[in-house]
Amino acid sequence: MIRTDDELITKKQLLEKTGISYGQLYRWKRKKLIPESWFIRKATYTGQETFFPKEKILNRVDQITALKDKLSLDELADRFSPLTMKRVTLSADEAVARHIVSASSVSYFLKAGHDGRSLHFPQLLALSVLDLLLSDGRMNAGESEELLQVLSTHGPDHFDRNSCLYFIRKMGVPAFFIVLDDTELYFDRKTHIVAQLQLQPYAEKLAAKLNGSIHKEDLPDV
Amino acid sequence: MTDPDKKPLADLSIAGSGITPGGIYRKAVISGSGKVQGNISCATMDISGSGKIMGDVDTGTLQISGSGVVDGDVKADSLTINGTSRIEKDVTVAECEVNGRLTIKGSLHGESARSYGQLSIDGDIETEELTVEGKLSVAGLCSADRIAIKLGGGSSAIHEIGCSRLNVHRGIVTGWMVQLFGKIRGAGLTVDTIEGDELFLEDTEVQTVHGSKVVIGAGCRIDKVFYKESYWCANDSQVRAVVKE
Repeated sequence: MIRTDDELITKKQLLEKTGISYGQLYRWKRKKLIPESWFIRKATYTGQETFFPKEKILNRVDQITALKDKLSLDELADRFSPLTMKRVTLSADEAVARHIVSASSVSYFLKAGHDGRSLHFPQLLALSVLDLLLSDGRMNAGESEELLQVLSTHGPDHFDRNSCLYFIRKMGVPAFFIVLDDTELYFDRKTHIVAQLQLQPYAEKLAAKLNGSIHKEDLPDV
Repeated sequence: MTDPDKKPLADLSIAGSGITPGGIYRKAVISGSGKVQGNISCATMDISGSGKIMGDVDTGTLQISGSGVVDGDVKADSLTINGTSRIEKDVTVAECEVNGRLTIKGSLHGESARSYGQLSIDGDIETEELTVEGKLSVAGLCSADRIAIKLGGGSSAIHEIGCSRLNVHRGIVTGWMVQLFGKIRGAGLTVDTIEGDELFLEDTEVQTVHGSKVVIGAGCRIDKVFYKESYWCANDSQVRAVVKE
């Protein structure tokens, strides 16, 4: 999903600015070169309009137009889509050596009894999210197992569905869950939302890292 | 899937009337009336008569001649409907051909879809090519590279269209109806928004059209047209506002 304070651009502005046609935009959407979640519907005084997160979409259109003569649309989709990264495996040592995940989160992972010889995409994603939450101190190492578990069991199939990871605490007891699609959640007063992470941007970033491609999109702060 | 060392997959065959559990098969054939209770995965599936699958279908080719109901998703390389069918969830196919009537409660994704008769989709349809002769109803987005619609068999309605090229042609009414009632207006198409590069419309009612080359043929009623390169409108069509961008 898109943070509400991202600067937005209308579909018309996007087409004007980039010179692409409606046909191209819809084709790229069909081929999943542009994620569904970037199409933001909003009511305006002229009726309903579609907006895009400005920086992300301009960046993405630049990349597609630069590469589309060299690569087929399917190859491009592979490049952008975390879903196609399912077949990637790295050993724990490799992942650390390539700076994809930190050594400390890998050690928690191994300590919890997981096999470190071949890490799949969901596990790599789980580890990089773990890195993030541990490094800014919102989570402690003892809680990592639950996070790893929910992400590796339920995360992989839903990257493209605006899934959002919630980390809540009530009376000091942590809980992790994943919510599909863009839904509002309301909690009681004593429940604290420690972190709320949209998984898709992280998955894309990780896919780009694994591809070794340069990805200028910065991850949103959480 | 199954262990390759084990014996080869069995065929599923219902002739007459029968109920069978789902599972993995090589060829599945229902002739007569059959019900599959659960998900089925097979190389080919052929239903002649009436078939009901109470689950998902994952197959190479699915052919339904007669009437079919699938309670779940359909995933296939090719889907052919001759007769009437209903699919309760999403359809992902490379090629889809409908001769008769197909109702999809979810969305249709694929490379090409052709419908001669009636195609009704509660979600979106996204294909590279879409050819329709007859009635088309899409409650969501209808997105394709090339869309060709020849109207007929009742009023068509689409929420949104996004495409490179769109051709909507008036259906021709012939036979005794014409002799009886004289010239009658064929079935129309109603759309909220059309966005595309090259657009040709007949008998279409639209709120907003965004296009590069826009040709409004006979029998259209359009609120606003925004165009980039060229615009033409037939005399008997009404367009309230035209804006060159």
